[in-house]
Amino acid sequence: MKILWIYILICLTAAGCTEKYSSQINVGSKKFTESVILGEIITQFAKSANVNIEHKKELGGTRILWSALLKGDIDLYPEYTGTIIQELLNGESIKDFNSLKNSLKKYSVEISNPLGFNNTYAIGMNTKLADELGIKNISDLAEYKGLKFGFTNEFMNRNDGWPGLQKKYNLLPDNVAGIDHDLAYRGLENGSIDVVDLYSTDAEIKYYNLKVLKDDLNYFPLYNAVILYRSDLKQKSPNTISLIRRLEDRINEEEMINMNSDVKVNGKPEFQTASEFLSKEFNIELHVQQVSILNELLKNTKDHLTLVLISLFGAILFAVPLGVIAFKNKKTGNIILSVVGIIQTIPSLAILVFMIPFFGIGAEPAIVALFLYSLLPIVRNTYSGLNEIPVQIRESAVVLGLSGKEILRKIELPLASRSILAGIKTSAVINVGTATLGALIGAGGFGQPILTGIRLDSISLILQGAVPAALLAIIVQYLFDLSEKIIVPKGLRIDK
Amino acid sequence: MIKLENISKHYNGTGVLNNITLEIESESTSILIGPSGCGKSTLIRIIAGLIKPSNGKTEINSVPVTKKNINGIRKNIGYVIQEGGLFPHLSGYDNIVLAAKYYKWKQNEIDARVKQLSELTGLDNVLLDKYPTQLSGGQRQRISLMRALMLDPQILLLDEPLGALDPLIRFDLQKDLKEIFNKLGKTVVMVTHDLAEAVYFGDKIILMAEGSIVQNDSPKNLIENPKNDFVKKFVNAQRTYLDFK
Ligand SMILES: Nc1ncnc2c1ncn2[C@@H]1O[C@H](COP(=O)(O)OP(=O)(O)OP(=O)(O)O)[C@@H](O)[C@H]1O
Ligand SMILES: [Mg+2]
Repeated sequence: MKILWIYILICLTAAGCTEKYSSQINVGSKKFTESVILGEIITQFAKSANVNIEHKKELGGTRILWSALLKGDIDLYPEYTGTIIQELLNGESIKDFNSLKNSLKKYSVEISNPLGFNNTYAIGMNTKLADELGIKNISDLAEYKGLKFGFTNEFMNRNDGWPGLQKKYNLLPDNVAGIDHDLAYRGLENGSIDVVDLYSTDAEIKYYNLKVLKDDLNYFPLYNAVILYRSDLKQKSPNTISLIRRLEDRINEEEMINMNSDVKVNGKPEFQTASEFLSKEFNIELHVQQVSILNELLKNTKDHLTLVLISLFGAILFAVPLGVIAFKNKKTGNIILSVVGIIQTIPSLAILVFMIPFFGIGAEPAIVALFLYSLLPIVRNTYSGLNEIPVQIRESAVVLGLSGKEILRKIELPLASRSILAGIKTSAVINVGTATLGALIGAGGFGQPILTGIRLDSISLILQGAVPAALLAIIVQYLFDLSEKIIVPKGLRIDK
Repeated sequence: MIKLENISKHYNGTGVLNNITLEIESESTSILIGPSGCGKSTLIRIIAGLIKPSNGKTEINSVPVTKKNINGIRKNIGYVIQEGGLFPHLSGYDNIVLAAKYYKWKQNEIDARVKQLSELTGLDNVLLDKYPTQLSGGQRQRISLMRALMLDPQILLLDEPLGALDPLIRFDLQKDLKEIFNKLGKTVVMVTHDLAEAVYFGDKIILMAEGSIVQNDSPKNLIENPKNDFVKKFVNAQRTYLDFK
């Protein structure tokens, strides 16, 4: 038992130390394609200059990346000016790029100049129709009453979406429908919809040959792509800073649309898209090899097992004694059972995010979150397993003169073993599933291909994560059924 | 000697035992009998130190039963209940030797004692390796008795030890049990529902009703000189096959 504790501690500290005190630079990216491509461009660019750099891709969302940046788990990541102003520095009055720069300084964060494209809400039309009608600007739409508008529900409801747009441009169409993004594009193709909302660098712009109308009244806020980096990167890797400088103003909308569509529509891997860009723009030839599916699977399996095993072992060591305490002392027991119960009701994503300020991103916060999640089934089953032992049995042990500790060891725990094991099994199976969310905070595992698959709309990628995860859950169940034969005393396994 | 003084027990205000005062002589066999729910098991569990009386004092061989003393006293008490209360996850043998191992007896001492006890209770040695669920009710009670006797306690408390057995096995076990009691000279307190069994075993029969002792007497006196109508009724309530006319 003790050895296991020590092992877990060593694993955790080792994992913590190696990353935090090395000179490695970490790039983060969000879980959408454009961000991953940009992260990949930065990574390969830096590698070409012999910077020791790693790409932690597909992290959950803005908050997760921002926290990781502040904590130092990542050193830089691509972001958008609008997002920084709306979500990260919400409430500060920022008038221009300079005041944005100054506001970020308070967090010891620096911002690059814009990379050259603006990824904001935009209005698009079928190019042929737009040319026929001579529509170039959004304001031109006001003159054509018969056009059919199909907007995503989010755009319909956001203040900075359709309601504001309609006012600003005085648009009074006969026909406006809320519709799913994908259906909207299909509608454009078959003519049932004429005007849609989109992001200005969407791959679909190219794929469906859409015309992006000019926002001639400057209604949509600017979402200029930039790179955020920690101030200490200047000391840590001056090389990387100069590379960031070279990327400024080098990627325009058309270029970004092309890259997005290369990945999303043509199925090119991000690393290849990135290296083609670098070769074209900077004459850099890098030979990056794609990881084979098998190696990918092995790595994911290793990451996933690490998450599940460490968190589960920790939970067993912690939860079984908690269950015993809960049983021995009803008052403390009520508190214990409600606390672990409350933990269970917190959504898993929220727990993962809560962990970041304390543990950063990567395996550690995921392990802690999974550990917390595993507690309830084990505590509850330990408690109920002990509670179900008939009074007569317990009294027989007491009269024999055995100490409380001996009764627990020789009588109560063995009698509760089946219930405890069932609790551990429940935790393990839940754990295998929940661990797929770990990819959102950079913990890897089977969640990684699932995330990528969702992002690229690729069933086969999703299956590369979902199938092994399901298999692992089945194997775990099977192993527990086997171990029941070892752990549950023989006398309890005889058919009556 | 077991001495109870003004023992009362109530659960949340409901009285289960009222002011029981009782002396049980060493090496005698006393039978607790009375209608269901009158408090027999409660009383025997108080003697075993398993539950604390709400009021009153218990002494065993002049040592008051308190939290501090209870561990020393328990070595001197063997306890057998209906269906045996055997630990289902341990073999018969492991049930029997559990306490001896805890007290760090040497293996040869344990072996010798187990041999002695299986001869005493007439248990086939093969059965020692079986688990409780693999044994018949009578076999279970023999093992339960061996477990209770393992440390050679002076006091034997039995709560309806033969209650769940069919008449034939029960008949054999009654006989064996009586021989064992005679041979060992223990202080025995036994609960039963069956007056015939009480008469067969008891030096004293303690008849209880609604948490009180109604009559504590020799079998002969209880039957011939019932103290009141309840005793008379209780004695007459026992049927025999002679009732069949
Ligand atoms: N833990 C408890 N809480 C509340 N009431 C209890 C408890 N234990 C026993 N009683 C009550 O005390 C009374 C006496 O119970 P006890 O088991 O001593 O009866 P008994 O004479 O052994 O009956 P039986 O012959 O059916 O075994 C019963 O009415 C029972 O319901
Ligand atoms: Mg009883």
